[in-house]
Amino acid sequence: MRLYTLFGATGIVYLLVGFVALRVVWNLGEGPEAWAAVLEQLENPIYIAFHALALVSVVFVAVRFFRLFPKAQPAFIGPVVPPPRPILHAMLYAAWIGITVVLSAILAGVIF
Amino acid sequence: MKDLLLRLEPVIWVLFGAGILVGTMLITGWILIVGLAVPTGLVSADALAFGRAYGLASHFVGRLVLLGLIALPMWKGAHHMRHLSIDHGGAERDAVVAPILYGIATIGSIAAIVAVARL
Amino acid sequence: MSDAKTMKLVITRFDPDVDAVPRTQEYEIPVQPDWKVLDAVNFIKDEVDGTLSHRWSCRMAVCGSCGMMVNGEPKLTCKVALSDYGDELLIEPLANFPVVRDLVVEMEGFMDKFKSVKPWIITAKEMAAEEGTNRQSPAELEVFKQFSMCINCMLCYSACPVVANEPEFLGPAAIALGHRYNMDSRDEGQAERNEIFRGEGTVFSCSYANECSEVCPKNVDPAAAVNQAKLNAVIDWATGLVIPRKGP
Ligand code: FES
Repeated sequence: MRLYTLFGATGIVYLLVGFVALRVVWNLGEGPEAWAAVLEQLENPIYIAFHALALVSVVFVAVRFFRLFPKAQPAFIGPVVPPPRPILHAMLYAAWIGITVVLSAILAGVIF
Repeated sequence: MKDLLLRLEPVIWVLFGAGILVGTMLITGWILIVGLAVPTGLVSADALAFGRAYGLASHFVGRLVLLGLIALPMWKGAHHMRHLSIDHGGAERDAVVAPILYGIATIGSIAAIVAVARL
Repeated sequence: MSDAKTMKLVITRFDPDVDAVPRTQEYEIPVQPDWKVLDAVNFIKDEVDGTLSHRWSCRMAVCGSCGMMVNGEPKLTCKVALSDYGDELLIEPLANFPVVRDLVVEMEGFMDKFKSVKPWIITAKEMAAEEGTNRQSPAELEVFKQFSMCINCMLCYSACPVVANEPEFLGPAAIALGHRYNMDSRDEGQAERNEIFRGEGTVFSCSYANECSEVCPKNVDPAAAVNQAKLNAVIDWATGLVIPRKGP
């Protein structure tokens, strides 16, 4: 199997992860009981295994896509000249890691 | 249907691009904490106590982030699944497969808007 | 032929007058250490079996006619060394093309796609000779130069999973060529070509598998061109929504 097939196959995980997140947020809107119930469901080993797979998928997608993204930018986009490719590549990693650290810290109760 | 799909291609591609770029950046932290750290007890469940979770989620920025991390990965997912289908001899069935996949992503996105709006 | 060793080549044969489907034929031949894959195929044609048909011309990776599948990968056979492979080699005609005979493929459809992207400089009005020449700075050339290095060898079409399944897809080399003109400072045909890029055979069929760029012998990086073309086609489309185009 070629790598791009695996890249496309992560689509299944992305679609599901979106719907799992939808279910979690939906339950938050339903009130404390529904919220407690959905959090308990997430402790099910099947959910944990799925999220482990999802983590592997997003890392794979990020690494591959961040490599492909810079060269997909034209030399100029209207009046805008994109940064050189290695810098753009580094910026993508910085944004991804930065957003993930901040979001994780908020969700884990470290900040806010 | 083929004509309509062709006309929508630019929109679909933009949503896909947002999904793979922004979606990936937003969903990683969610998977780490909500999907793994809290359920396995690595992080105390207090972090996601109802009051705190509701407060964060119903903040203006919180709603936007949640909408992004729910809906955008769906578009990345639907578009890549469509390509997976085409790559496996599915050019003929694409006129059926593509509308179903994008339909699922559309319904999911609308549900996501409702889910964050009613908080 | 002191340091010659022998090698087995398994070659696809197809004669439309005789064969219903392609078959394979095996050749055991003595090979030289400095041979390219094409040298081995030429040896068979010249010394072993004159009925074998294949295309080649320049033997220096310029003419783009010697493309074949070598062990399942599209390669310019005059560019790859025989010594990169083991004792056995599988040689087939380029994938994703109709076969005319043996290793010769039909290029007609491919040429039509090339023409369809209007690969020439389009200007609103022709410049009179007295006005001088169209000037272009080295920096302006650099913007598209890479995309103009294509030798039409069609390896990218053989590697592309979308071409394999969607016959109407314009494909890597044709889109790279159209994009090359779109990025040319002298050209004014962007709107026309973007229309073509969004039409049947659309650039958006590309799933950015990047396979084309991996096989390109000239480092054109067609995948980069196709995906740059997508962004330009989207911007052009969005601009068209805001500012309706004049025209018929
Ligand atoms: S013979 Fe001309 S490119 Fe190989």
